[in-house]
This record gives sequence, structure tokens and C-alpha cells, in this order.
Amino acid sequence: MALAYGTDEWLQEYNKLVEEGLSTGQPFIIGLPEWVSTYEKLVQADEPYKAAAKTWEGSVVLHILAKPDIGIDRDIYIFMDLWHGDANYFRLVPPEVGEAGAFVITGEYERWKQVINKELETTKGLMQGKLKLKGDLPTIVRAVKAAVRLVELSGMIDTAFPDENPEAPQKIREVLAKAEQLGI
Amino acid sequence: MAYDLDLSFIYKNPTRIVFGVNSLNDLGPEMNLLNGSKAFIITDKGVEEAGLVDKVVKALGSRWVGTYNEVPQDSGIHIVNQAAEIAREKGADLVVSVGGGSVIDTAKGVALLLMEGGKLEDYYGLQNLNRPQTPHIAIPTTAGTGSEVTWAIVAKDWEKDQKILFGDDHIIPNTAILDPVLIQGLPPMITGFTGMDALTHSIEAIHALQSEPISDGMAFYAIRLIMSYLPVCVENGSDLFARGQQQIAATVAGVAFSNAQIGLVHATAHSAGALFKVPHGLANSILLPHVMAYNSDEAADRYALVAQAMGVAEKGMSDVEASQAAVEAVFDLTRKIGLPQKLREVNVPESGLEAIAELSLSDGSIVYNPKLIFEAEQVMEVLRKAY
Repeated sequence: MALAYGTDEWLQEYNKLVEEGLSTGQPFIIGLPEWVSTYEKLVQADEPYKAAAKTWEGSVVLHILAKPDIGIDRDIYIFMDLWHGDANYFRLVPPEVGEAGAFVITGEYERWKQVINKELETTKGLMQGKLKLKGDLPTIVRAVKAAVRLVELSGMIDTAFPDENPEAPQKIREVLAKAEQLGI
Repeated sequence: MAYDLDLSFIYKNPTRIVFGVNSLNDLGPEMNLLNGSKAFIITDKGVEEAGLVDKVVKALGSRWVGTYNEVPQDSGIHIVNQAAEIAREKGADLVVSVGGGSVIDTAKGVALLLMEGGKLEDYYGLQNLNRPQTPHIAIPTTAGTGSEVTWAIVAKDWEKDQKILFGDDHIIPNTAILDPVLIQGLPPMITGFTGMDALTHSIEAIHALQSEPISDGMAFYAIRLIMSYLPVCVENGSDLFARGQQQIAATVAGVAFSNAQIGLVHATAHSAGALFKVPHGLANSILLPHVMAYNSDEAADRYALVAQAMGVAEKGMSDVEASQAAVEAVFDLTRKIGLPQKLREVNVPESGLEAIAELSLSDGSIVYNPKLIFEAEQVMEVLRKAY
């Protein structure tokens, strides 16, 4: 049975996953806990983001749809707790937590890869239906500068893409198997 | 015209368009094609009083199950919810909208709620739907909105005094029936400003950051038609040929902007409409040349092409000169068809400009403006000139 999300025990186990992942060294596979943690640190240290997001309130969830042929056997939800320019925490969360985020941006793995590689501009992707947005549009439009910076920062992570690395699908499956006890 | 090497786009235009004098008679067969048997009409009282709904009911015959006629000038989220509840009670399996943009957008929401259930506010966001919605046949009674071919619902949140955009490819109407007979009774003023709405769609599609070659082509063609036929429609509303050409222009411009998106003109017009009830086309008409002038240092090359389509570009003109000529041509057109030139003429108080500017910053259209807008002061620069 999965640990209850948000408890100390859950957090300890999640942090173990992060540490294990970080110990393997970069590049990190997109969407795994070590990648998410690296992203969190980048945003937390970024002054341009802080300035652009000083009025932002609310969580943003990046939802990567399952793609079993590269090891992503189930959907991944990256929860970003953002408040007035602070990035409190970024972490993988169970689906029910992810779906309840104030803003949920959903896309297939290929789309997220395009976003990170700056081949797909997020607002264009939303208008074209390559990405989906759940949440109050006026609020997110108001924060477009911060959103652009968040995307820019994701491109600064030394990222490994599982479709380009034959060993990655196995690694993703191993991590997701461990994450299962966290309900992720 | 320069597109970058990284040009990439998806072009969509799924609506079946049925055009012609008396094409309303095709309504029944078109409904059959969509496997509909119980049609629910969405309209407003003005359209009903003009006798147009009776014509639609007659064309539907025994397929008609009911009518909602209370859509206001700026529809609201609660209006969509209310209309959907009645349509559901009537057992509707197809929606027919008869009216302008507000009516058609309301019907898109009703089609959505009939299929998905719940309230419109449950679907805040973009591209959240995963399947086709209840079939929708749109019958525009103005020639400007383009809503019959677009992917968006603009509905006012009456509590927040803000127009909200819902966008999804699955809410684009299945069929649009463009019958010039239905718009020949439109008064000159409404003909004028709804026509300017279409011109605004065309020009904003061309300057928007998501412009692409196919929508550009459509927008340029729409501009040519509007320049030729809008003044005729205003002058002589019973000229059915001119009415039809203007109708085509409005729909083509709708396809263009539904693909390329829009910009600051719409962001400010939506806000002026939400706060001070300025009719959408009228707000667009007033703001369009001022936004073009504001954007011209970023988009002069695009406006030079607009000038060509408007027929005002002269040999040897630089992009900047042609861009200025396009701006002047918009002013000339609005004067020629007798429309107000300033926001102060349409009951916007000077003290309200800052509120319009502030609200515009959270309008979905603003992110596609060719000159990036982050601060209210940038918007105020335009509003002061338009005041």
C-alpha cells in the first residue's frame, strides 16, 4: 500500500529517491525526481524569475502523458508550488494531487521535449492543441513573463531524453517502480 | 514577407460552409448530415423580433424542440449554463445558433455542456476536451464576428466584469450557413462596426505572432473584399451581392484569426466591452488604427502588406510609409462609413482608461501582439490616443 502523500514518511522516501538519482550524475532523465529537483534549484536561485513572478500565487503542474515504449508506463505529474516569486518545492506527486493543481499543463512526451529544446513555444503549443491547459486563463496570461522564464530555465538542465538513450527506458521503469510506493 | 526557417504551424478549418442566397433552406439536409433530430435554437430577442428565428423554425420543421432567446450583447458564463440546462430538458441533440458572435459563442458552450455535462466554469482553460461535442450549426445574422468558424468562446464573468476566453478545437461549429438574405435588414451602423470587426480580425491575424502563410492569404483576401464591399453594404443594405461578399469576408477572416490568433486590439476591445459595454466591433474599429500605429516599429513589414491589400500602397514606399498609409486607410474607412472615432464618443469615461489597460493585461489575446506587452502603461499609450 502506498504511503500517504505529504506525510513526513512520504517525504523522507521521496527525498531518498531524489538523492539516489542525483548520485548518478548529470545528465538527468526528463521527469525523474533528480531532474525535477535540479529544476527546482535552478528556479529557486533565479533572480529574473523571482522578479517576474512576484505576484504569482498558485501551483503549476506539468503533466507528462504515459509513453510505454520509452519507459514512461504511466502519467507523470510534476508539481511546482510557486508563491510570490518563491519556488517552495517541485516534486513528483500522485495523479490525484497533480490533477488538483491550480494550473495543469498536459502534453505528450514529444511535446515536452520540444518545449525544453525551445522547438515549441508554450503559448503556441496551447493554441495549436499540442499542449492542454486546465486553469484560469486570465491569471496565467497575466504571468506570461514568469511562465516564459520557467520554460527558459527548464532548457538549462542537462537533460537526457529517453528516446535517444537505449538504457533510459529501463532506468525510468526502475525509478517508477520505487515511486509506486509513494503513489506516484 | 519573411517567414523564418523555423516556421511551423498547424492549420485547421473544419467547418462546413454553406453559402448562398436562401441557403437557409439547406438547414434540414445539413442537420441530417450531422445525424441530428432534435434542434435547439440559441438566439437573442433582437434577432427574434426581426423575424429571423421564425424562418429558422420553419426550415427545421418538426426537428425544432425549443428556443433560448435571452442571450445579451455580451453573453455570460451563467447564460451558457442556463441555456444548456433548458436544451438538456428539451432533449436536444443538435444546437442551431442564430445571431451574432455572442449568440454563436453561447451555443458553442451549450454544445459543450450537452455533451460533457457540468457548468462552463468546469472547463476553464485551453484544449481540455478530448472528443467531438454536440453538433452545432451556426447561422450568423451579422457579417463580422467570424465566430461560426472559430475555436473560442468569449463569455463574460459578470461577477468579475471580465470577458473569459475558452479555447478548444472541439467547439468549432460543424456547419456555418451564410445566407445574405438574413443580414440584409441589418442597420447601417451595426453593418459598419461588425464589418470593422472582420477587418480587425484580418489585420490582427496578419500581425499576430502566430501568423502563417495560409491564414495570411485568407486575411489578405478578406481585406480586399471588405475594402470593396463594406461601404456598399452600409450605403445600400439591400444589395445582396455586396452583403454576401462581406459575409464571405467575415468568415474567411474568422478562419484566419482562429489560426493565427489576434492581439492588442482585441485585448483592449474585450476589456472596454466588459467594463463599459462598448459593442465589440465598435471598440475594435476605434482601437485598430491606434494599435497599428503603436505596433508599427515591430510590424511595419506586415502592415506594408496590409496596405497592398487595402490598395493604398504606392510604388517606392518604404515599409514604414506603407504602414502609415494602412493606418490612414483604416481611419478613412471608418470615417467613410460613419463610425465613431474616439472612445469618448462611445461612453467610455477618461477615468476608466486605466481599468481597461489593467484588464487587458490578463486577456488571452495580448500574448500574440507583435510588440510584447507586459505593463499597463504600454496599453495606456494606445488608449490615450484612442480617447
